[in-house]
Amino acid sequence: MHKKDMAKDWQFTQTDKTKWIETEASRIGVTPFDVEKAFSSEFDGKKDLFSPLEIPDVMKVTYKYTYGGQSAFFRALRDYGKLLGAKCEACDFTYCPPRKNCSRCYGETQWVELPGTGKIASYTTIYKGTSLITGKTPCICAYVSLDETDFVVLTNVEMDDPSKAKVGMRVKAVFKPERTGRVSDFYFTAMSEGA
Amino acid sequence: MRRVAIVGVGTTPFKPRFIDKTYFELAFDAAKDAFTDAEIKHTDVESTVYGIYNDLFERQVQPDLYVHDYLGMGGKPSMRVNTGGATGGSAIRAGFMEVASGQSDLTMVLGVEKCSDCFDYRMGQSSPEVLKSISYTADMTYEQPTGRTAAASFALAVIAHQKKYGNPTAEQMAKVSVKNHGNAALNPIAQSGKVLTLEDVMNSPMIAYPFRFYDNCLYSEGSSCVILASEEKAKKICKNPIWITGLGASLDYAILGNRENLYTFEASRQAAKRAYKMAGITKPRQELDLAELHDAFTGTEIMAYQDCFLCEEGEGGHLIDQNITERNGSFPVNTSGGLIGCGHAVGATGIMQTIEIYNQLQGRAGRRQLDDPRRGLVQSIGGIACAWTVCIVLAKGGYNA
Ligand SMILES: [Zn+2]
Repeated sequence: MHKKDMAKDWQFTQTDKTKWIETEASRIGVTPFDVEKAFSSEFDGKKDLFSPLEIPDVMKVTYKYTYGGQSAFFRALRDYGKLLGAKCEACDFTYCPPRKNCSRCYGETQWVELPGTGKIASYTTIYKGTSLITGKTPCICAYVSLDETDFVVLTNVEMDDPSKAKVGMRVKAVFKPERTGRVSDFYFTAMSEGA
Repeated sequence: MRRVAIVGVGTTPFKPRFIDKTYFELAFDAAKDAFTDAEIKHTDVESTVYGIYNDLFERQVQPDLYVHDYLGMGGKPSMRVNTGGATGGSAIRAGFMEVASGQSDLTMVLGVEKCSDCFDYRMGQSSPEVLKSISYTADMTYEQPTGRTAAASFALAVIAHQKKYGNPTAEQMAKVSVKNHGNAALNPIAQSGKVLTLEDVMNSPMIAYPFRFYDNCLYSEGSSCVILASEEKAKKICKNPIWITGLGASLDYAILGNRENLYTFEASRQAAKRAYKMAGITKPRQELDLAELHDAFTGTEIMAYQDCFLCEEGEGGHLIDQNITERNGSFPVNTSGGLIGCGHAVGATGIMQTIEIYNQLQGRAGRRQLDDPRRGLVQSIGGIACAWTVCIVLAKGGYNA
């Protein structure tokens, strides 16, 4: 049998488009409208047996994730609106993001409260983001050298005019009124001149 | 340590999407091409190494299981390597170690990547969902929630470099894009066929400041493969093997607070030093004839000039200004078109770069062919702000020629 004739005499069963769209949309967690849009050409008649077939799919895992030894940082953040660092007395080195164990000397660190101020060490403005931040661009992403630490933290800086961001600019942490125990609970803004 | 040669290469074109092929079918095409080139059968291969980056791209955890099966390699020793953008380079390093150590006389190193099956239904396009899949590489606790993209991670370094050294400028970065697109236009496997002007690049939309659209590499799908052989085996089956004479790797701190500075890529410096030491190279600019440097972004190609010791610290911008890295310059960089022009099929990319140097050394680079190059460098980088680097020195002629 020649390849191109293979399906010629077979009984064609048309997939029920409406039912298919609803089932698939719910399975992958998007709207039926968007599924229909993405697959509009698949349902305008019988397709060649050998043309590529696409299906909607999703890989999803849910978590109950433990912060382990870093929990105090997130409790301080969520419940008190405070920024903590972790200081190794032996190395006289302060980390933020914190770590329970010093990666330099393998000793234990101590929690310290930080003032939440610092300066921009480097920055970029993101115009084209991931589907996780659709609608939130442009946004400034910066490394901030935090006062009273020996570290930089990756964070967002909010400014009315992103083009005003500069390396060396003084910034301070702002804690959102509603917090969920994630680093997105705070961001930085420019401090006024001379601060 | 035994000497290791490349005795054959194969690759698919790099394209935005192969709607008609799965990742294991792409791998099959590259492997078959390489076996034909090396004049061996798949049953001759003694061990396999697979470079595959992102399980979410492939919609399959542990995709190497199904590549190995599809290639008819059942029973042979195998491992999968994943070091982000440096996956291809790391896979070659793993294959080198298999052969150099005496574990195998003939090893297949194959990189493959899909990505455009990822699809954002709301936006009706792939790229935001591709970026999302990549974003899970960022530290999930402290960094991923900021929305930082791969482009942003390298932009942060380029801005710090600009602050320190006054370059790369927007125009120097645009020149790199024009150069690499120009080279890609002569490369039959390249994804982009565009010939651009400086204005095209400098007027393209901003993606992550200071990178505009044409400063960025392309998302690609594709597969590339090299066949590695021990010296004894290579001399038996190949008239003109290309030798891996230098190999160096480094994984720097991924949390940048632990780094000495934000404006150089220490992983690249250490990997290059190790590769040069092994190859006996003390003046890379004089002793090498060309390089494929990992131009994920134009600014990072310019940073790579200094990090691979092809110029003094902070002087990368001058190399492009003086046309030194153009195809007809004194030290051509990315004659393949690089990731910006040829494309970035992540797991395959370092292998594609290696194949370009191989083809140049063999005199098989078609319209891109340089005048009798003898020794070349591959730099393969990946991870947050170049956490990983693998550098590979390739040479033709006798091992020490
Ligand atoms: Zn310590």
